[in-house]
Amino acid sequence: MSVLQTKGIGKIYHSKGNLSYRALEDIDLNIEAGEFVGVMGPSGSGKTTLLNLLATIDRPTSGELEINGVQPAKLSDKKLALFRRRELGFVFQDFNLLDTMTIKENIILPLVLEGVAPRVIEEKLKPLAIMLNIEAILDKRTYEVSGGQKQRAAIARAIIHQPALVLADELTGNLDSKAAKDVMDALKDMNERLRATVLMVTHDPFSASYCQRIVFIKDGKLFSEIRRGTNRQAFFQQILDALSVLGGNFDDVPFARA
Amino acid sequence: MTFRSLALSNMKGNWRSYSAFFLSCVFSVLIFYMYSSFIFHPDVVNGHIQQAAKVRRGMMFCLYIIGIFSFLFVLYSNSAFLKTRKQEFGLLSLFGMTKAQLRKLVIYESIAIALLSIGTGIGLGMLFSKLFFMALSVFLKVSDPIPFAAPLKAIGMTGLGFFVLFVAIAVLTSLRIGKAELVELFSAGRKPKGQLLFSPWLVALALVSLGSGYVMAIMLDPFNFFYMALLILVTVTIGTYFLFTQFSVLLIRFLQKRHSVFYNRTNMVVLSQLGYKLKDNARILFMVSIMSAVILTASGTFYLMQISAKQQIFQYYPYAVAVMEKGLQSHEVIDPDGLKTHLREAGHPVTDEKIVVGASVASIKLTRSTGDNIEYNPDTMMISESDYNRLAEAQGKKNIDLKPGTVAMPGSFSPPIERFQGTVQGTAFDYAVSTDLSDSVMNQTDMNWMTVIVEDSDYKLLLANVPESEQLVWYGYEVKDWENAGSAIKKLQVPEDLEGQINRNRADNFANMKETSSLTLFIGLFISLLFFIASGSLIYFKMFTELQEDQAQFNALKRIGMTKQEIRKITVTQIAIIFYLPCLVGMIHALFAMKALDGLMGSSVWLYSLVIIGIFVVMQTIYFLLASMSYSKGLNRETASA
Repeated sequence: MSVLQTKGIGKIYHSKGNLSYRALEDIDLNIEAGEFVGVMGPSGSGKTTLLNLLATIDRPTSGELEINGVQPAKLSDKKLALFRRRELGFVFQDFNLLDTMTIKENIILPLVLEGVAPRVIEEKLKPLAIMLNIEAILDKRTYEVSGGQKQRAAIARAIIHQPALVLADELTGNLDSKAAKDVMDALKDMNERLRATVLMVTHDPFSASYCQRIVFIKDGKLFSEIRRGTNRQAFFQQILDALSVLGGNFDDVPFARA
Repeated sequence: MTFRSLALSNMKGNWRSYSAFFLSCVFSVLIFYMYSSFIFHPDVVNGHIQQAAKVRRGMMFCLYIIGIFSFLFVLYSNSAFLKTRKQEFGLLSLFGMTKAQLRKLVIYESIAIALLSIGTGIGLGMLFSKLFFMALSVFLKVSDPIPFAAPLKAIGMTGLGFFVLFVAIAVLTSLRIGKAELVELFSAGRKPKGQLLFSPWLVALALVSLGSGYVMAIMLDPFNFFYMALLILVTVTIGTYFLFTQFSVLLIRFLQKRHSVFYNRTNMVVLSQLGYKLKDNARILFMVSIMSAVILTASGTFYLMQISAKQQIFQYYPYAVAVMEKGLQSHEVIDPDGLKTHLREAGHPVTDEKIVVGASVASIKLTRSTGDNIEYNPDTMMISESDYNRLAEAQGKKNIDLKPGTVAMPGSFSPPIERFQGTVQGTAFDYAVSTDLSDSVMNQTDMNWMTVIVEDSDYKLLLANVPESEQLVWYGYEVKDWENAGSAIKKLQVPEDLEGQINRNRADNFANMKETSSLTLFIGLFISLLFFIASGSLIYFKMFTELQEDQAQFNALKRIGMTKQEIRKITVTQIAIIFYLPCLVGMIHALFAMKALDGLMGSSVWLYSLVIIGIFVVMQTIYFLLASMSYSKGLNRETASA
């Protein structure tokens, strides 16, 4: 079953003085349930634009997008927000946790907003917290925990309401290599054990090596696609090769990490 | 870009949060100017307007209040404002701006806003001063309207006074920036606001102080007023402070533990944001509560004073005109028919006439319960119990019931009088005092500075010895439209040496009292309004300095799929809590204060208090709607640009 399907979506930005900029062009993408897909590309290739379109916080100027059988383009603003909340889960580079709340409150927020009974919320939270190894910090506040812990809490929040698709944006970008590994292990765990479908945008070949499939884009167009075999180390090398073919500016990628 | 233009563009950039502060400053300047322009008005100074003299002192007093209040208000707003800009200052000093330059920047900004608000305030003050003078002319009953004038002294005093105030505060607050370390400046915004902590002892203190303050307020009476009033003020203030800083934490913690409440949709966001900001908000909520209580209590008190003054007038002057004559048919002071004709022709016909016959009491000797005698020998008239009751009934006062051999006389002796001895036309009597009267049913005149009431059969006995020519007769007249009958009553012709035997001052005294109290109300109203605007602007100001921080929160919420309606609900709920909570606490305080006044003055003003509170709530609602509209606008604008 396909969770995400795009047919030739593109995005053109218009600015003053009739200048237009084609950020994304004719993207066909299909993600099956339970897949773990990465999107890579040099700076300015349109990764973030693509993610914004998939996250439904931006609308494509051409093409069709369907998530879990629904076309977000046809929804009103309010319905779209509710759709985002129910069908999508987000993990951001800057964690996007609320300082005003404890870790636990941040995680359960999507369920609370839906009006789920407190008992059910507790039941859902517990196994997830244990799986992500954050049950000890549930009552702490965001400024009292490390970046890796914050990101794992964010993963818990993105998954607790069992969304159709989890979107992750450079989720290891603000972390050191140890924390990045923990977070990627956690995300992989979610993907494998809870059958969560994940689409991740990243610069980082190490993080990308956790994916089953990677889609490369360049200058707003699909460039190539590689699939993982059984060995993650080999896949990592494959990614590096693909990137060198891709060219462009990867200055901000911490290669040393591998 | 010069230094000055940097300061100006800073102000433009921060205008939304500056605006409420600016408006309150303008309003302070406006009122200050209007009052001082009256005080220094050439006609007032020259004494052309005689009535102005008594108002002047009240207004001077108001000027002091406005001055002190403005100082505190500007001081608080300025330092709060600078705190929110710590990061900006950190950035500027990182770029190499020296501390001296930073201070200069802050002082420039303050001077700019000072000039702007002083200019606007005085300008608007001049514009409205004619209106203000017109209103004053009406209250003062000045025949020629007070002409427009812009006394230089008023302009100078207002302008210079406020300028010095602003600059002094700017210097004070700017000294504080210099002291902070750069790192500290940078992390100011991100510094965790700390855990929600409370001490059970302080919570208990809050509840005990408030409770005991309220109980004391209920028990307040004229005897314990002086030491209790201050105690009430102190306990209620302490109680309110800890209510907001300590008890509120307890309450929020409790609600957060109640999952059925806390886990209910947007409640979680509202409660956790409230808790997060509580430390900062508590002090503002406390101040606004106290201010609301002061506004409501003061307006209530003004009205109550007016009411009790009116009651007192009726106590002293039961009748519009009262005449006392010796000899039943002598008409030595004025002929009753002539009086009635005169008043009827003047448009104030007599609507009620009461005649009381009695006798003069001489050689009075009063004996206290302790056994000693007191020297008290006013002109005294003896009347009968049934006459007293007849008058009391007509005036809606309490009847008395006397036993033979007893008298009723005005009370307020301590220790009380036990025996009353005296002579009527040579016949001595010695009666027990059975009743202390608090009401009087007759206007006082010569020969009747004190009225004693005796039982009917005693009265008959005593009066039998008095020839008709020696009997006293008292006439009381009520007239139509008495409030305006003053001049007609004054024109009644009375022999000069018997002037003391007619009492006709009610209308004049009433007019006097009404004038004074409505003037007080009028002047006090502006002060209340100033307090109201300032308290609202404190809240408004607080909201906007937090806008950016909230912004980040709401953007985060939006990204995970919170709808616009939900965000709206959250913001409106929060703003409503901040606006109405102190209003509610202030109202409760004011109601207890009213209850205390009730006990003090013995007159009920609940209806009036409710009207005042109603007006206050309506005004607060208008402020709330404006603030929440402008806040949403600010929020949306910033979201769009983010």
